[in-house]
Amino acid sequence: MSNFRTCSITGLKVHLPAEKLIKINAVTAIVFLLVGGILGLLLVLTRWQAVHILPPEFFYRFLTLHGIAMLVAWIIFWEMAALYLTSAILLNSRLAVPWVGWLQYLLMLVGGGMVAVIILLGGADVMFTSYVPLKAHPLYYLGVILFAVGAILGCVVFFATLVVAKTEGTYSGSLPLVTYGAAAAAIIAIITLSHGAIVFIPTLLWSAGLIPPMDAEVYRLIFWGFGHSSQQINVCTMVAVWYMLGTLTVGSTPVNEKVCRTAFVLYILFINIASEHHILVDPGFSAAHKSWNTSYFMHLAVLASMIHAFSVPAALEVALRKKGYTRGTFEWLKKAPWGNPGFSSLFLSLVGFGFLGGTTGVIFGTEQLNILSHNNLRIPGHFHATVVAGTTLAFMGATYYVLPLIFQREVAFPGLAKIQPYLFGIPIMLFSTFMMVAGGFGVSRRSADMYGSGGFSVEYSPIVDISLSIMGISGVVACLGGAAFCVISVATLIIGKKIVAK
Amino acid sequence: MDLKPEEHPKGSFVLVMIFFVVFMALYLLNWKFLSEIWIVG
Repeated sequence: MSNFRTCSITGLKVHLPAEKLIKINAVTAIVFLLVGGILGLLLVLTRWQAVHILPPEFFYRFLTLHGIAMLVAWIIFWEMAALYLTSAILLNSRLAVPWVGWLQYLLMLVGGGMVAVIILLGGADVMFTSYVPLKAHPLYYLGVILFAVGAILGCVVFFATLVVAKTEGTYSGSLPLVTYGAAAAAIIAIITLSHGAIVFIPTLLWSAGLIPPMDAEVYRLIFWGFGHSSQQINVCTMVAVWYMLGTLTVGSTPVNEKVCRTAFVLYILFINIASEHHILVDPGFSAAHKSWNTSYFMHLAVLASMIHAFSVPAALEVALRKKGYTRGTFEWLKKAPWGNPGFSSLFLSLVGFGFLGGTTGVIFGTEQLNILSHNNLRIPGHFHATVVAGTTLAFMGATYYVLPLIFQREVAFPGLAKIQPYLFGIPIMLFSTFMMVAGGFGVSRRSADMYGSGGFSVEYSPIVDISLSIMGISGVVACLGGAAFCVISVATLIIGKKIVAK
Repeated sequence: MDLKPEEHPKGSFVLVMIFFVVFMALYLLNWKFLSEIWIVG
């Protein structure tokens, strides 16, 4: 029993090896968030055409690393911490095979570090997608493979811990909903990361000159099983975090837990198919293939999101109404704990993900409508709404609970922490919106110069300049909001008041 | 979960309806944009 402590706030038994792994993964996640955020600031100051500070060479290099650091490293390191938290800690269990957990961490750190260094050295200006025949240094692909294998090991430790908890009877009844959601995310993660390993192994061999070039279209099909599906891990984990934050902030429980669990199963079965919208303009796939995968099947995953879109606010509303806020339709919303960064992060994340990210995701992924958005700024506008306003903000909100519960420190600068979700969440929603507006008027994505550095010139509507200016200003403010989160987190670890066990 | 009448999540129902209206409006708007840009016939 010496390997456990009892949490003075929740009363949960905390397995110390699990706690160490949660801490190291969470800290590493925040380091990658900081790196990606600094690069994001430089990129937004380049896409803001009136400022335009980076030369093309550095724009593409930094955009590649920004994508890897944010879409993959920050999110998946944080998710590893979440997997250990929702298995060992929430189930009062010991973590199965902690040494495999450390192997997970080391592989991901070495892999992520290799990728970052190779990109910064100029060996992989291939963007996040690294579409063949664009060729990067072999160590870039090796780094991605190591990272993916490490993350798979984290999922293995998670499932092994579920078995240990069940066998040793550390909990009764069904898995808690949050752990259930994390399990769904881990299943999706294994499918996703396997795609990553499968597609990058031949790409590595090709890059090293050992095999002939691979088919570009086959690469794209398999790559998106990794590239987009990795964002579906985020969606699933984010929804689980929403339920967790609802419980932690207002004591909510879902109105109908079985329906919520069914929605998670729908995610497992259908959400990865949504990745197919990336190949909607590829000529090699039939219209029937594209239509089935991006409409009929995908809408079953959308149905799951619709269920959560009602279930999460309904759970919050019922909990607040039970506290006595029953007047009218919206007293519960007015009296909600808006000064609690966990709650404000949850609600802003819900709104940003649903109203901006979710709606545009379905619309842009529709076969006929996709041509309006393909390769223009509408696409990054959409995914900054889902991954940044949605997932990142939810993870930030959860971090405000991980700091006292796992690091046993009171959150530093509580006044700043109260406003941080607003400082980050509202600007990033404006940033996404106006990115999409500019994209709607034809501004291309992944372009260092929208006026055509490739020897041609184009004219845009005056709305584009206004949109890009609002996008630029709100992007800079969002970076400040993100920096505030990093400062609060680091300061908590260094100067945060130690919480003494009672 | 058994709820008293005053505990029913009617506010969330209104929020979800607003979401549906926004979703439908954006969806139709995009079809309108497509019909203007990609003229058939």
